[in-house]
Amino acid sequence: MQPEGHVQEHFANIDVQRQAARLGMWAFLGTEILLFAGLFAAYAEYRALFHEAFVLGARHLDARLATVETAVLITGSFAVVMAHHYAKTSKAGMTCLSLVVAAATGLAFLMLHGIEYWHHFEEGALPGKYYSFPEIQTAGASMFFTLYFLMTGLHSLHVMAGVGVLAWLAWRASMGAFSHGNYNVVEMGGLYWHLVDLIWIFLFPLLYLV
Amino acid sequence: MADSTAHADHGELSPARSALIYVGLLALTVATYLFSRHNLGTWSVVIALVIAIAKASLVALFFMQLWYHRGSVRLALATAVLWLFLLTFFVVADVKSRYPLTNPNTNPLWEPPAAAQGHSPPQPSPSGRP
Repeated sequence: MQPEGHVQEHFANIDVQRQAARLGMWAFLGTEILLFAGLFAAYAEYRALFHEAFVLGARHLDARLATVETAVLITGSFAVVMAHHYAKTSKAGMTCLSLVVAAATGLAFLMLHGIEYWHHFEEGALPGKYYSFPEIQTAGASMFFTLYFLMTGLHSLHVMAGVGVLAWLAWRASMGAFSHGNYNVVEMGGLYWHLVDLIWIFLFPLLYLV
Repeated sequence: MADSTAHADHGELSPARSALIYVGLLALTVATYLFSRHNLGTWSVVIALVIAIAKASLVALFFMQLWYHRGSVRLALATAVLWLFLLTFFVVADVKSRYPLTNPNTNPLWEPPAAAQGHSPPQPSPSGRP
């Protein structure tokens, strides 16, 4: 396929078109970071106020399971990098396979996180006024679990959206939609998935480790 | 594989290099978990954040290709990170510099609960905060 065949008429050439798509995507990712910035700032504020409760809360969460979840997300990111590479080299089958693997890691992450949530529902470590976990009664403990559910919940919504995007890309790839001249969509979907990974890289130590 | 238009892409991420970065990210993940198992006080926060920043840099620079795509796309990320830093810094500076009695956790009238309360209501909230 000719790369030039995929240039929209309002772009001078394929490179200008790619750069425009990248900049637009990064502007969107910037707003996503700012969306989470509010929650990170809230975390910093309440950690400064209720240090002891936050340390106890983090110690109570399952760090080992979260480490596995982190590895799963990183594997998904790597799969997306490979999908981008295969799309660029016009290997439709491998592109599709990599994207399916990436989407599967997203589903695995959601499943592991569901197990985690289930435990917290059972023990009563719930946000706000629903907090009834007898083991940690330090002032501010419910604030920790409120932020835990808000931050991981919003992140999980992004994982769900990402899985949707990756599944759609895999379906397109299976029909041979991507090639050397036309892989922009794979790159943009991949950037979104990497951002989901990027946010988790910070949620993981803040909520589970320190 | 390489684009013939050399001026647009400053090199590419090879599969071998991305595999190497993938292994590095997994190693850092295990390292941060192992560090967290030791009680290092304030250092545990510092170490966890340094490792998180290292991992995030690897993802942003290589997986997200910022190493190869210079210019405006880098500016978009830098701006978002700067805003995140400003927001967090001033929020914490505000909380830390307040008169101590406005801090719900240092209220002198608050007394810790005498014993375990079973499934009774949340924790004591002296100043009406959750």
